[in-house]
Amino acid sequence: MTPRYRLEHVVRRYRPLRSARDVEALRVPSLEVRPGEILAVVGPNGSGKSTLLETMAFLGRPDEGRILLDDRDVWAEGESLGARRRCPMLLQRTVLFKTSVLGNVMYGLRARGMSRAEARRKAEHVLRQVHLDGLAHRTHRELSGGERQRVALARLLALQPDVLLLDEPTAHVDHANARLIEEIIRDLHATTGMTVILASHDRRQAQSLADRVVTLLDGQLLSGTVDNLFAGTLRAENGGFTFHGERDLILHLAAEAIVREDRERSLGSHEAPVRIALDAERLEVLPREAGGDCPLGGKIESIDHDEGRCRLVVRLDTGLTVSASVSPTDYERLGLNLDREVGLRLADGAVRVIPVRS
Amino acid sequence: MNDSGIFDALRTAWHLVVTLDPNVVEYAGRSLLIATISTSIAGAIGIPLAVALAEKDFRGKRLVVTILNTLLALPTVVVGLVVYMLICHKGPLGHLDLLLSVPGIIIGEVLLILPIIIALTVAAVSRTDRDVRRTAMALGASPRQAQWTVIRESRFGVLAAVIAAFGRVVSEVGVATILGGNIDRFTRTMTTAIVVSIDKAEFPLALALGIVLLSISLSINVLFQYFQGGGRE
Repeated sequence: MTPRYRLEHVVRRYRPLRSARDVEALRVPSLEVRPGEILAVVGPNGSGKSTLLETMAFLGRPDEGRILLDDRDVWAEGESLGARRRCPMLLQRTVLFKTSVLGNVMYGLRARGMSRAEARRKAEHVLRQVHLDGLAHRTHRELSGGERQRVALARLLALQPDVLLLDEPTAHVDHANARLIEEIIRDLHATTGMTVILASHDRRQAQSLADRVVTLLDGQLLSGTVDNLFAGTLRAENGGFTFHGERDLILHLAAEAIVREDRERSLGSHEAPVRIALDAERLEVLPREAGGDCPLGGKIESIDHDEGRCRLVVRLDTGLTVSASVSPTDYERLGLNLDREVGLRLADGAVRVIPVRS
Repeated sequence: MNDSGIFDALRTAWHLVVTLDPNVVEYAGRSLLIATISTSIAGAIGIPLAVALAEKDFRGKRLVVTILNTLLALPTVVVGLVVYMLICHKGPLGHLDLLLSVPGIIIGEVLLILPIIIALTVAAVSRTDRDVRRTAMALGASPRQAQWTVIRESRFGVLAAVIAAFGRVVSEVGVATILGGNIDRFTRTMTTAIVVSIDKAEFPLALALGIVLLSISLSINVLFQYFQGGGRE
């Protein structure tokens, strides 16, 4: 099947004001999105999520690489306007135009040359879908934050796009509106099968809505979610290598795990700043008394039962916090509860080393 | 002129206004025509330029804005002189025969008010949310549609800029005199007619034109205040 999107070696840079040097904001060696897929992009603030979505919405041309929409190189073929019309985007900061709710929803349709009457009919229909039909004639100033966000979403839905790009769609709304917006996205995807690309800093939302989750970290794309990040330096020494950093114990364990798994060759040999990610799913949780030689020990600080997993936050004896995930069965079997002393062991593949770009 | 002379002149002036004296109508009509055409041309050039200037970040932008703000107080006689040198018979555009004509005055007025329209529009657009353009583009607007959306979202400030420019043209005398030559039935405007009427001691006509000019200025100011305040928003 032809992917809806294919990104090949895409790089975006920007030049900060009063700087003579460009800064790299995004580097995606490869990314494919299938038609009808919901892809969630997670990552901390400033990680490049908005830049990635704006690139996929054709709001900015990559400085390097290609972005193919249905196998067509949009920028090379000068088709950016057409592509933008197929892939509208909800920006992270919602701006409603100084007109009525109805006028806002009609905007994109009118921009595509639709008659006023037809645009109005469609807009009214979509406003019913997002439960805002009673507010059609209100102005942007008469809406709550959640209503504004639903109007912004209705503006996109009215366009019946092939792809929907949503940048933090629930970031500034209350819990009830957030759930409502998630429900609208889910229903819409189920009925239309449109491709949805969603940026979120909310892991729970990403995992509950998406078919696939990728993580953006410092502008680099990594598959899956990334937990427990620590900074350090990878340094080649006497044919081997060591990690140095403020989280020395964890970094040391990470180094041991990597050596054990014989993965050092793939990490390069020069001295470089890196991030260490410990996969919460691959941290083995043991009661402290059974942990024996387990070097990471601490106390369970919080427990969150969500989506069939129990997420534990463990405060280590060193003061650091690490999150780990266990199945409800293991949770019961191990007799875990708040303030329980536990040990953590790194299973194979628990450590990911992520180079930090200069 | 003694007190009764002033009152007589005022009474006659008022009579000239309410009876739509042909001279008053002609000079006021020409002034309004020149102001309308000049403002339209300057708006068509200046507003898109100002939107682009407001939205683009580039080295030297503050210097450009400072220069524009300085040009807001451009003396009319300086503009008149520069355009005169361009369109006089020995000037580079002399062959177009624009000196002492209404089109010649319009060229001067456009140059006079372009900085006003650009500077005030830049200020208005800068006050408007910077994400308006990106939102429009993200909804599938073409670059031109997005620019129009930015102008529409800044409409009260942009209209205030246009009104200020219109007022400047209607009330100025330097450009109209130097480039138009104040020729009766041909290039005479309200302001230049007032100067001539004073020279000829025809105070009732001068006062009548003054009343019309003041009425126009008052209307412009009321509109200006309205739009500067964001209209009914």
